[in-house]
Amino acid sequence: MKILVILLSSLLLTFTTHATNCHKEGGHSHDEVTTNGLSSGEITDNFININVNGMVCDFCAQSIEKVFMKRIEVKGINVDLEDQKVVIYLEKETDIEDTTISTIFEDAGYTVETINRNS
Amino acid sequence: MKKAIIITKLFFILSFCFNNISARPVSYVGGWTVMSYNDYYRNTLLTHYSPTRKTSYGYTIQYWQNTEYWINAFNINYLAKRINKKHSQANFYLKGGLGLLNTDYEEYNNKNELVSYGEFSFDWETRKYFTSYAANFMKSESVDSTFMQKARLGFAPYTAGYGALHTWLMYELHSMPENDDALISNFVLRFFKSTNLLELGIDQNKNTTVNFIKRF
Repeated sequence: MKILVILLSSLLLTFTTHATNCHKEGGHSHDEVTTNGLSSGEITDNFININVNGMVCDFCAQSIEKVFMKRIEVKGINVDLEDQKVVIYLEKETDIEDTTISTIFEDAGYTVETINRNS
Repeated sequence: MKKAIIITKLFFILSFCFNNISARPVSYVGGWTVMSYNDYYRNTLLTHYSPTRKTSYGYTIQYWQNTEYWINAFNINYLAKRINKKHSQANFYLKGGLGLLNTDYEEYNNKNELVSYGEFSFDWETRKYFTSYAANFMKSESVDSTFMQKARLGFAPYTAGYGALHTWLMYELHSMPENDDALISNFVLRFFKSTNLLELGIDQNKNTTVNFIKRF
């Protein structure tokens, strides 16, 4: 019984923490994330939308942010697990080839479905 | 009680038929992972590096408490198959290792000998559900020979966004046929945020589990 209480208390604590996190993020709703959201860096007008398959785990998806943010032409990134979408924000007048994008995703364990540019 | 045994056995069989595992034994290309697994039987510290999307190489230090032996081994993990779907991912892994076992247990006096181990595991997960299965063996020249199986079912009570704190509730069934308790139930709480993963568990004998994973 004591164990059950501990487990339930831990669960309650995590729900509370999650609620706090949501509050802090305020305004980063699901729709905003896919259009204007940002996981890291900054938003630019030059961006690439990528639809991905298999990106279900946050812990593993962190590698995508890490690898893309190391590239000099990348200014920001948004990862949306719910819609399986990643937006890469690029420096003005720069680009990353589709084959490079696909390779990075495959190296991280995911499959690219579509790649679309804003221009 | 009989009903509970039947249900647990059924779960074990179903878990075998479905898929499974915990954190990926093969990381992204160029990624390092450090893991610490601690339960009633053993304490394990392992690190691995993934030079390709299909393989990782690592080093393991393990201490088995009841039999008082240390294992130092090199290991290799191979991603045999990955299935990416829109809202799920499944993985099938093969693992192997070779190293040195050292023990002072009972009649053994600082005995050293070669030890090898192998494992196959598979997992399937969505944002909400998780199932995994792993079977492994360990064989040394004369000290020990062990076969273990582990299956897990888990669900996330809420779906957290990218970068937020994620929580999973998991039920694990652990089988070691040579033990008095051949089947052990373990309840595990998994938390992860960013590249840090923590698991806290307690089994039917009130023994605790503490696992930690950090990915670089």
